[in-house]
Amino acid sequence: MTPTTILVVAFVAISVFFTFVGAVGMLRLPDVYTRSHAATKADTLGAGFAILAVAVYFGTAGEVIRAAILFGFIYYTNPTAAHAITRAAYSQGIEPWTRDDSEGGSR
Amino acid sequence: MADVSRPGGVVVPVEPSASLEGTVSHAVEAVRADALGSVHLVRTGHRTHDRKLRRDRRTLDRAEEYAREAAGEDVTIETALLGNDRYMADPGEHVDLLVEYVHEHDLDRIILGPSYSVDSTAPSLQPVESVLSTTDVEYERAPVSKSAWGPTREGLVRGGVLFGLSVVFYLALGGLGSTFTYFAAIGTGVLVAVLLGNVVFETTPHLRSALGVAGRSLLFVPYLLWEIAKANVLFAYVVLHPSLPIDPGMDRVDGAVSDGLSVTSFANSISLTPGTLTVDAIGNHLLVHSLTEGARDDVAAGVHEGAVRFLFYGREGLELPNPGVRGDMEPLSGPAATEQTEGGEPDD
Repeated sequence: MTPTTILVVAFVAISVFFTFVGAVGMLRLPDVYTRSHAATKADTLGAGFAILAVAVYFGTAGEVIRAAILFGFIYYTNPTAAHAITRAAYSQGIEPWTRDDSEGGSR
Repeated sequence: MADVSRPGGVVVPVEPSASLEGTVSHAVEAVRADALGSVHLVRTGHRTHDRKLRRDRRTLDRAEEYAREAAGEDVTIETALLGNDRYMADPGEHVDLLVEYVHEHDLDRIILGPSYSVDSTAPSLQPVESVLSTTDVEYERAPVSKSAWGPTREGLVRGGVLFGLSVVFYLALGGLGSTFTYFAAIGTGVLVAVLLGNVVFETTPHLRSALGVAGRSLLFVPYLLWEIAKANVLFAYVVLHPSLPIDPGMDRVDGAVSDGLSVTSFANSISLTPGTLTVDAIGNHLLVHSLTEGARDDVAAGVHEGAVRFLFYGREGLELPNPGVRGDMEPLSGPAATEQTEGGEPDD
């Protein structure tokens, strides 16, 4: 394996790890607010490293610029999506889960 | 004469435009015609750094000169810089300042320049009139021609900058090389600039501050990426830990940032770092949901706010104490709120 391949594999592995964490968080966390942390934020690093891997793999200036722009869009739209979901939830009057709620026995 | 102030007067919010002189002398004429006492020239806006303060001062001085030329001795001229003590993220807040001023000084009405728009929003997005018409204060546009129908300097700057940006963006995507690409880039650039010139920019870009922000973003972006990476690792730890050690809560955070762009950057950098999430934003009051105690402490310690203030206001921006110290952070639910209500139910 060339150093480039190793680097690409490493980036993809990190990307998969954080995306996996996002999925696990989605399942384990208790309410819509905490879940949207998982759903939207693990992507920042997950997708970020995937794009980094793409940039390294192709390596030409054109592809690197396009990858950077792509990351820029994820960087800007990610928080917007999280914000839209939780804001909707909040205006529906959904109470955020707190530590105390778990003592009642429900998850 | 100088028999000092007949009661009443008008307020003119000034802006640096070609029609400034016409507007000011119209205001003086109007005051004289209605036998009122004074013309108040004001400039609204939060002065985040000294340069902006000097710029606003200059505009106000120029307006005052015009007014004194037109006024003679029977009309009193007052000037004021408004809004220096508060952070404003919404054009409506500029209007609130004007209305407050009118009530405070018992003035008759507001006179706006023909092209006056609150310098915190694009003219076509939310005309000042639409906000003013919801208040009880009278207003009018000065019947001054805005130097024929030609484009204003601000309009040209906005359009030009947008044109440049879209050409660069097009070439970055399309690649350099063929004549076709260049023509297509210029074509789309013109189209975008004409269609969106009035929508894209919140304030007319100034070269010096734009360069400053661009330069400081070279520090800001890696810093933010580092914070994101760090927080992501912590997030992974929390989520994968068998006992799921989370302790979520909701806080109200008042960011010490003015105007939409910096508030958005502040809210977004909170959202981007895992563990904290901006749920809602009203002006510069953000509603922040946090997953763990540590994430809350980061917000209180100004990890995001300090960085955003540095990005937009330079080194002066770092001198302010962090939100936790200022008391600009108030728990709404979660462990801290429960403690406040002395072990009772978390209040809602």
